[in-house]
Amino acid sequence: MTKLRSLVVPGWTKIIPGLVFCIVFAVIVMNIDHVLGKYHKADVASAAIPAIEERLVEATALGDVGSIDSAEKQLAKQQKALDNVDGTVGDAWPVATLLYQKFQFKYVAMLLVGGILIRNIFGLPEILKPGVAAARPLIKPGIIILGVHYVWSDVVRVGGTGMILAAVFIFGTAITVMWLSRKYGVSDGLGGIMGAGTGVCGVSAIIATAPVVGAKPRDMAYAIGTILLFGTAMLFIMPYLGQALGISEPQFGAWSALAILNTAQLIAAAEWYGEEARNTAVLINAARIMLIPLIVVFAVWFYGIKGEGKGIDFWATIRAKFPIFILGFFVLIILNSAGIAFLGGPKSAGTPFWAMDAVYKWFFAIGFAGIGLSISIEDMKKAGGTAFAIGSGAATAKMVIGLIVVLLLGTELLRVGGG
Amino acid sequence: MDGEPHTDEAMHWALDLALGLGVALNLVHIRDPYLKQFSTEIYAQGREEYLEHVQRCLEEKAQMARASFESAVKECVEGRRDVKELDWKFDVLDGDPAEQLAALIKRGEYSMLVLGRRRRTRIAALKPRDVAEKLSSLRSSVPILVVPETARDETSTNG
Repeated sequence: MTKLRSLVVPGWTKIIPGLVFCIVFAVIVMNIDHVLGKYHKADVASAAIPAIEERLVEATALGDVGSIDSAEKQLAKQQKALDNVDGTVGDAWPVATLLYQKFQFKYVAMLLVGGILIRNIFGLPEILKPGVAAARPLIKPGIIILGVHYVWSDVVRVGGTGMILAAVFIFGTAITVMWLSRKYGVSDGLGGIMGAGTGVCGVSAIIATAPVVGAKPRDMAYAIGTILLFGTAMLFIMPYLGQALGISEPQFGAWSALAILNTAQLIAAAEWYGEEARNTAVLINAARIMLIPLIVVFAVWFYGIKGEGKGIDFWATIRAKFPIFILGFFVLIILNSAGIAFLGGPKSAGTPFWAMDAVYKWFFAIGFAGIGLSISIEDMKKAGGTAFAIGSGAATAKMVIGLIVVLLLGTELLRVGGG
Repeated sequence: MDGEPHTDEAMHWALDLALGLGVALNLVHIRDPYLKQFSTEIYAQGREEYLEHVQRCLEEKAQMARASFESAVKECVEGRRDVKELDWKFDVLDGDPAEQLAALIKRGEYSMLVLGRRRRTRIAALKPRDVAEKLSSLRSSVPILVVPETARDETSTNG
């Protein structure tokens, strides 16, 4: 009984109102996204059908069986999109296309922007705060489920490339920031958390490193504010910048995984950009977050930190700071790579992996609702001091160098095939 | 008070006023749990260790604030021939500083509130309102004395 009781999180009832709020918010937004997407597809179909019909007539006259077959399939697909909204050829829904395609106003953007507006205009009642905070980690099960999209060849090629890039970027940033901080007389505490925060995954790395380097509360507030400020700014700037520069989805996924300072924001930006971007970003991010314990150990070594009389235990630190949930992601990759017929795949309807893939978006949606509702402009305004100078330098450098690197690598090396 | 220069200046003003007027002085240190909320960051590892670190920092700061206040009281009382002792109290509260001080004002147990105010830079307009600003906008019958960060230096320079 005691063991059972220990499984219950103390004060779990406090999270219910906020969690329910996030679920309702996610359901509303996912439905708006669905309707907007449906009308956008119908708008595209309405314009495309006459041209396909013309091609079909030409192919029939020429007796080109292959072209007839292809045109008929396309026609059926477009007609279905039009039928979904009870439309006919000639109908137009330009607003849906403008919002959905031009402004990329998809569920990620709606949840984040909507959440930010609710939080910062109307405020979040105290009763909702614990649940909103609890909703954010629901991205984790979503990431684990995404393991069904990968096979080992992806892990070796994209993940291997990503691991090398992540290691170079993480240690490059951390070493540069810590070295410059020491050179210019910044305290070890602030230098350590900014090195880890700008290097690995923002606030998560600050949480892991702060106790080890003995960061002071004021420095932590400045550092967290700075990371949130730049992470949020990059979340909204990079997808539009990527589109303007014509970057492919796999390249964008790699770029966001290397450049965006905070993990939640990088997953959101990649999901927003497209499915292929998300697949690449999640895999490279998996490689990146596994380096958190190493960066903590590096900070311990760099600042010559000694534990209370017994020194810092290397393996204990690695164990304590390792993100165990990521192992679930790799277990699903192994199962997917094994090709077990019963498990199927994300595109094989009615199979377990298909069912899992169908729910990942809901975990993401509730998590993004929590993230949007947690982005407080007041928190970001706390950015300042030396942390701001370090953060702005590191963020700009990672964005520019990351862009150059992914452009040089090209799309194919970064594309997840999924078997 | 929290050991920052502006709150130190406010503490000295409050001490001078209390000694001059012969009234009791209540010093308040507020432990702001603001940083604790970030322990729920999605990939945060070592959450317990982080929360313990933040709590330890808050407690150390409260102890330092108390020690600094006791030493200032001793110094002030010893420096004045007309006063032998001061009736003082040091309280530690937990929560948002502006909310906690507003609650104290509402209780109406104090004749005056003395606050320090950090020096604001040119980009201050972009920053959140500070505690002094938030409290000044409250409807209250308790007078509030806001001591700017440089006030003490200028006062001493001006003689």
